[in-house]
Amino acid sequence: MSSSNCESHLLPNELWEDVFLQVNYPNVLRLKQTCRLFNDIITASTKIEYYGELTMDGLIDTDTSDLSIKDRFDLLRERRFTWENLQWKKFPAESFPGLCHLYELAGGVYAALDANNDFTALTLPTKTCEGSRKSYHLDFPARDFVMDPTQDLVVFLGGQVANDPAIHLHVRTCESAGRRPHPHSEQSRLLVHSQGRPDAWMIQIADNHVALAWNDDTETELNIRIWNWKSGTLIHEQILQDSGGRAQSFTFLSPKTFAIGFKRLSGYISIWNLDSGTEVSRLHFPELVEGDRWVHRLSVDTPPFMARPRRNHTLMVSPTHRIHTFLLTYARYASGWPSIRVYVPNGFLLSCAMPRSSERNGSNIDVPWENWGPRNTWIREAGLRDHHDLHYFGHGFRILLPLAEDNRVRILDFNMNQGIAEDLILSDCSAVSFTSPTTISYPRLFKRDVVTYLPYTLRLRAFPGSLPTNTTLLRMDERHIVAIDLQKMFNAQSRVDVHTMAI
Amino acid sequence: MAAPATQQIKIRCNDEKEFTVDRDVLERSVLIKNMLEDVTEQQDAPIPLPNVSGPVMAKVLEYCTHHRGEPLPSADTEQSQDETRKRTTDISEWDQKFITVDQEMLFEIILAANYLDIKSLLDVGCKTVANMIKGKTPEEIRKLFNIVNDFTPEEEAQIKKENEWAEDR
Repeated sequence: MSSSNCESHLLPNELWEDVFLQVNYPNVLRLKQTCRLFNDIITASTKIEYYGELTMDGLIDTDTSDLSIKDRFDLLRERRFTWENLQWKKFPAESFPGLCHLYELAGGVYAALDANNDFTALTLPTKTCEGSRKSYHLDFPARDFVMDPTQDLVVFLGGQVANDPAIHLHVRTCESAGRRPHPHSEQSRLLVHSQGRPDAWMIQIADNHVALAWNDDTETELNIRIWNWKSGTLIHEQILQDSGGRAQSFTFLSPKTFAIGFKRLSGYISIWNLDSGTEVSRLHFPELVEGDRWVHRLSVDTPPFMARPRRNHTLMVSPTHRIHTFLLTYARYASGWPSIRVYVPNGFLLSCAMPRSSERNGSNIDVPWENWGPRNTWIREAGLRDHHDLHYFGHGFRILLPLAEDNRVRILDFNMNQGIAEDLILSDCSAVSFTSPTTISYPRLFKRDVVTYLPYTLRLRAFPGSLPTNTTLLRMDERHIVAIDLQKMFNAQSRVDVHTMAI
Repeated sequence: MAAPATQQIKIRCNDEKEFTVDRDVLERSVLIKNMLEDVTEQQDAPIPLPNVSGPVMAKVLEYCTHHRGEPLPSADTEQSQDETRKRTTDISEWDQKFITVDQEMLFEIILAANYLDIKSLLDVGCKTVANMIKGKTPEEIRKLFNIVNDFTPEEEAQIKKENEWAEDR
């Protein structure tokens, strides 16, 4: 076991272990190849192996649990196995009133706001914990909401009332189903506009920050405001022209950075840094042929940000390991309105979000498609079944697709570190990895063929029980997949069943 | 009665070098802090530190003086969560400058921080070594630490093979 190497004896083994815990997994693998001593230290360390595998799965351990490393390792492996096999447990459906078109799944809570202004927060069951349900008739008219249950936070966008034309954000607790103001917020109402009339909007939370992006009814101006919801301070405010179309072109990349899709030219992602308050990068989409072609709409879907792991959990998805889905719809193409979905890892966008150093000030922030797109994205032609108004959120590196023709759930997994262990895949779950480039050839739309290289795995598994194929919306978070009958959702007379599968 | 704020403590290193230091600076070291708490009477004999040499101790004291007054890590949950976040961030600018020393001194500082139980300094040291390793090939790492490749060609090929699937990700 021992080695006669000289310098490596400068530190005792347990201190080398501390050092190796600070390097990422690819570097650990290289360390194993240097000498026997290092190989022995690493092979013997459950801790190094655990943190290495965490990184591979795109997770971070927040150290908020008393569990031993071995127990955490078991949890990690169980969780990986169940996601690879989509091995879920089905729970009895929960029923909601119809006309309940505002809903969200985040951090283990499914919440819905219905036409009667009743807000319901359903803490979903897991394999080991029972669920619970709470409702509250809101004391103000609410038009939308967003939540982060890991901070016990729900933020509502209020509507106008008879004698008060002002629009507010209301900062409440999730646990009370919106009844109580959040104890950490100094102001339970944040003024949006003294008499504004937002026509389309998007609210998003990222840790201490809450953003509201909205259009008036002309759709030409995009208003963005970002508050610190704890202190109530407005920290960023701007009005932009010609953004991607409605408020859905905005997303946080981190609490300190955000991106906006623009339709100009061939469409681009504009990245902003809140510390410097400046635009730091413009990532351009594939160039269009000259003439009568343009981007009609450019929006983005981003899995909800959670500030910390769920209660009693220690693992959470690493902030860099999340996928943004940009949807571009083009106009004036002979055979209709083609659209594409562009999948981009957050880690890449964040790497473009550093403020420019002073000597580079005024330098060109434009990045042509060829310099960033092919290597860092995967583009898929958006089919008829994923109509642009339906958002198929994911969680971390996993994205839900619309149900397959045969009613199977389809999940795109962009974490390619694990590979597919054939013998581990259960018989009724199939998985295929795609590592060769994808080419999209639209000579009447794109100047050049669009080739993208980001690899992914597609996993399919039958949805337990029968669900109407064309009307089912899916959502997912770290532990659940939820299916909702969309057709019933817009019918005041019917009840909507929310089906839950826990992983 | 609280001890006067400027109580001075004497320490003696393994090369007979002695230092007289403010108590709160020395208490960055959990080892010394516990020693001082065990001693009830004022004593003039210096505390012996048989595992640290004078030049290394001087460097460690520079660190402790700069960080005096900062809260020591505690077991409190809320704080440990913040700590976790800190752990993932980089080394501060002052620490970075402080730790820019030759490799021998760097390892000596790590060993001293470990012995004296100064967690934040141990962290800075380990991170610095980790940063030196980052992005290097096995051959470059060997050169860096003056290590001899003691694998047989078969062993080396075996480990390489095991790593292959993850290497090019």
